[in-house]
Amino acid sequence: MRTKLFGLNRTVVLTALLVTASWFVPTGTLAYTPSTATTWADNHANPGDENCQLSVCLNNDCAAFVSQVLWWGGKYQQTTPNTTNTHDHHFWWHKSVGIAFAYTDSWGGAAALYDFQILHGPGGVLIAIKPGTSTSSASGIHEGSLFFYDWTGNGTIDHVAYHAGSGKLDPTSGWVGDVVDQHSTGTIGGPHYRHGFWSDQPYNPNASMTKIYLVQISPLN
Amino acid sequence: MQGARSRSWVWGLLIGAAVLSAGAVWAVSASATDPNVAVVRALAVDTLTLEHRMGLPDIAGQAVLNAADAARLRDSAAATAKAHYKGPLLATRSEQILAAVNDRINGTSSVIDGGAKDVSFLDTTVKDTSATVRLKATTWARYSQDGVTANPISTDTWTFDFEKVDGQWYVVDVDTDFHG
Repeated sequence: MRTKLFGLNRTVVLTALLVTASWFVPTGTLAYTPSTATTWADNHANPGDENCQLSVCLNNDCAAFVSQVLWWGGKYQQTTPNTTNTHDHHFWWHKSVGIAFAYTDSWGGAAALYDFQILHGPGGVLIAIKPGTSTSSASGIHEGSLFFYDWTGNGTIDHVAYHAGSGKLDPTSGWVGDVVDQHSTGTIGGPHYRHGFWSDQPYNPNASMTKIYLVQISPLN
Repeated sequence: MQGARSRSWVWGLLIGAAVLSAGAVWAVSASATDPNVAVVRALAVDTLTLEHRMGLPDIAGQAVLNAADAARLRDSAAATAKAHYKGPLLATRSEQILAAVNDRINGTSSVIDGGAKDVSFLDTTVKDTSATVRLKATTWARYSQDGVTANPISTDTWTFDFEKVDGQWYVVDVDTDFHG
């Protein structure tokens, strides 16, 4: 007869405990590593430093940039790739197909990438929703996390940026705090830059109506 | 015989084009004379300005408020939101406008000033109890963090969706063309 803990099979309980614990302790070389992701992001955020041969480069490539930061820089594990584009937000991958690429919506679209983080396990966890007028630090979230921006507060994710560190100077605005690396071709927050202030407020004249979703990524990825 | 057939085909094409043109002119005239068009356009511009000033009076003055003024300002913020929005956006904007007012009252606001200018209307459609206004506008703001100011400015296309409830138009969605 197998031992029961709290009325549950011991194996199930121990597995659950291990999974929970592993959220806080990165496991092995395949684990998502924010420090290396940040190095990659810092090196590729500014104009002329892009590395588009790694993936598709779209005009509004904020999500494609962040996807490359996670995967190429941070070794975030892709889901199993296919040879044709997919619109299912449970998946996140890109793949060379001849001279072209196949990819998921979540690779190159901010809203789809948010969906993937929430839908996929281990994925990420929504820590908080902050106003676009936030001038303090993004408390409760750390380097390697993602910021998703809803510019007009209408419930639609419009933009994504990578959390590249805390207590740093945004050299463009002179504001100090948590900073992001991001790509953008719009006039808001862009066109490209390294170490922008995390809330994007110094670049966003519409900050009063903006909502920012803070998503902490599991190191299990 | 062949030439006559060609000529009649050309005449048919010309008459058809004339009818279509007349219809287009009539449609434009009809929408331009619809009083609802002017109403929703004015409300779109008013709402865009509101969303950059968040209902704060004399926003650039940053005057210190007493308790009575603060209470009045909070009531005014709630009424302003209800007068402009319906649906889920009403809850969102009520929260945002009240937060802006409270930041102002508490002296913690990072917003110094803001607004919209150079507005040009692109499309306006009104059908029964729904309407959409697309416009191009330059929005601007002035913020401060630890004494360091920022002056962002951006020209974008905005889309305002409206619903008419009890004879009054309300904004139910606001979006921009900037996604990325």
